[in-house]
Amino acid sequence: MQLMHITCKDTSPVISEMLDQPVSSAKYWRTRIHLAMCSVCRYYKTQLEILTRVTHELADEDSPAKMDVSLSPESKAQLKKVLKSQQ
Amino acid sequence: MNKESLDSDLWVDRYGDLLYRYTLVRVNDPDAAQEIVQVTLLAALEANKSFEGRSSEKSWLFGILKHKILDHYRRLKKHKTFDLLPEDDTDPFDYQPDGHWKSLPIDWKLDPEKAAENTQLVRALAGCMDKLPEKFRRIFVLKEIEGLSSDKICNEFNVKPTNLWVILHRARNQLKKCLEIHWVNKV
Repeated sequence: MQLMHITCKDTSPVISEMLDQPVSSAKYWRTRIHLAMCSVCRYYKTQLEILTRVTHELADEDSPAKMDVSLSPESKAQLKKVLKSQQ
Repeated sequence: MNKESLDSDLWVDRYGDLLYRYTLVRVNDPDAAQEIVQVTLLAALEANKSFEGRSSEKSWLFGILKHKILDHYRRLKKHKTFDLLPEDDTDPFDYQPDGHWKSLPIDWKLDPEKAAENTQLVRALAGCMDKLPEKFRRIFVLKEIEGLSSDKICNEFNVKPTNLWVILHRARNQLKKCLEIHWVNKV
């Protein structure tokens, strides 16, 4: 949607940037006004918020992200051997 | 430190998989991940005396692992550039000439507050991250998984701030598109 000459194309990178750092007040208000009038960009903003939260969950030490992956028995045996040789 | 925690076999059995999975989320290369786990446990062995039991053995090992992962990233930066090349200029959410979305974002019908509880989504995202171009993946990991500040990433990894915003925006768009294929459409 082209609202106040600010398009979705202009708005989308700013929505992403706002997740990382404060933006200039002009940029902020242009984006807020566009978001108030454009439900599609609001969906996009929510999607990025979901993405950010789920990414932070991935960062956790006990994250379920790679639960199906393990070191092979051979790798573990090799690892034990290397560690023993250093003791 | 008690006798049990000096047993390196026990470390491998107890923490090997946990350390390996944690590394694989950050380093999309099983061989490199395995090597980082090994270097971590060797360093732990070396630093055994400095472990004073102030934290749990697990947090102590993860603390060492985090440093080793960043060391790995620092080594890689010597061989890789984070400059944007013409072939990086692909945005899966291309827009129409008037600035409208070509493919309209949809309502995922998920409360962001509850998103992290969705194990399926967490795992789908890990899979989608592995599909990112390596340059985008690394920057995304440093920023969103390792939680480094934008200034630190720009200074330490020689990324121009404008490139950083572009890379993060494109990485997010690619992840979003991948999740719509592998998660949204399957829920």
